Amino acid sequence: MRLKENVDYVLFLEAIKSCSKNVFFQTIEGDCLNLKSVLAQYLFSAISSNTEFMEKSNIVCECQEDYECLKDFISLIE
Amino acid sequence: MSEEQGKYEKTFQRLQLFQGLVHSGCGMSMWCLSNTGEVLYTTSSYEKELKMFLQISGCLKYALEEARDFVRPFIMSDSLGLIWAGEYIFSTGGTERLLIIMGPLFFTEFSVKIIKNELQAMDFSLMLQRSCLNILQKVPVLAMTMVHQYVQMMHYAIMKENILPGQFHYQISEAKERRVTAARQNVKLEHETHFNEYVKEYSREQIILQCIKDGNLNYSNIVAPEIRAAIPDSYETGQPLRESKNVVLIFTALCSRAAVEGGLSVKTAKEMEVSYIRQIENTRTVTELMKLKYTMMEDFVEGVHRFKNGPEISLHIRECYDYIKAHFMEPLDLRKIAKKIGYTEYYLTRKFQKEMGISLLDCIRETRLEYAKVWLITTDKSIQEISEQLQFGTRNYFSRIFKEKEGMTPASYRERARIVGKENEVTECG
Repeated sequence: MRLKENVDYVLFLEAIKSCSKNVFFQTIEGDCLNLKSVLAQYLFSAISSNTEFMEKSNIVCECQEDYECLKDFISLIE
Repeated sequence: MSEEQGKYEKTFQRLQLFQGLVHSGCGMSMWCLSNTGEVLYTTSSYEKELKMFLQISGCLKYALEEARDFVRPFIMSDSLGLIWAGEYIFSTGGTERLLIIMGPLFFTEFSVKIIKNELQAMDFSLMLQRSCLNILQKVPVLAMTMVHQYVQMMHYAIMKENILPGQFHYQISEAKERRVTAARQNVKLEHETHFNEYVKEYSREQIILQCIKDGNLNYSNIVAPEIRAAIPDSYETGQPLRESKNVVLIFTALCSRAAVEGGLSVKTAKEMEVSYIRQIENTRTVTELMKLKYTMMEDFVEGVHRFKNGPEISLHIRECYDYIKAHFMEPLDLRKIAKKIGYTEYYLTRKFQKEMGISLLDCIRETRLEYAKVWLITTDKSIQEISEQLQFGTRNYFSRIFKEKEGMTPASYRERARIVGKENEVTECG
């Protein structure tokens, strides 16, 4: 799943708090950030200005139901 | 232009000058936000990223919600160790508030090194590491005392009034301390703390402890110049919060002992000490710890003050005693004190002697001598300077009464303290 365009990243990170299991941000460089961790959220913020990087990265939820919580922020069609 | 608008314009002119100064001086950024958190302007080159840091850390929420009615500056911190300071100003007509934020900054250079090591240990891509470190490496590293000074300046630019660090608000955060797992042995210590800096730190402590012993309610004004000269508590262990806690824990024990020497019962002092030790251990951020440290110091000073001013001492004599303790560095005129209290000079001196067991003039002299002893040992102030600052008039007079009390001249007292200090160093090295 990819992040939608012009998403408010802070609200997205806020929404992740309500997810039941881990949510990962997988970059094209092979990084895998667990967005439930504080350090990963800072890293995510640090790269948030790099549009290309953000557009090409994937969002992966451990629990299938959590995609529903994030539906305003990610494209459900891969 | 209305008077209100003119005042507002001038505040912004002062702020513009201030933000230019701090930016050129240490590269620190300033932010101006609306009362809904929208950035109106910033001097930061990483507006988007750092604003996200401010948001995800909960600092912006604190500034917009809990701190919105504060009329004094507030200091915030997050789990990465980033520090922010904020204060509100009224917009035209006073109908709206604008939030001024200064930061971020680090208290210790070690914070970035730890993060760098963690990123390397987690094997993140170079691109990801670089994106994060590029931002963090540009964050200024300032000693806590310097941060206090900048916040004092910011408050002056906004309110045109002086403020002491003890009057700041400190964020109490729910954020949990980030466990640092970096391999600290790989981080080389690049800076050595000079001996002179420890001497300054020791001096600061001694003045604070003396104020506690005296139960001196004016302590914040007395210790302020010492705090300005002090160094941050950093031992570069890689755990800034832990080492700050250790320093405050030790300081709590010293305060407790000073309070006992000031007359507080051992039981009360110990109970306070234990209570504060528990609270210190429970703090989650550096700002929380700083706030607690000020509260603890105040509590001990007030405890001793209450003891020293028991019911057997009348209100007026108590006022007189407090006045002496608060103004011992100024010329003290007996006639003026008596007038202030509403007694005649003769009646005041007799009543003071009867209730305090010491004459008023002796009390003034004893107070000044106690502080003189601390300064002789802990500072490089010349004997002339000490005699002038403590209102002894001439060096000769100061030396004479010092000798009467201590059995040696101030110079000999200082020399003896140095010899004892060196002997202790040799013993420790041996």
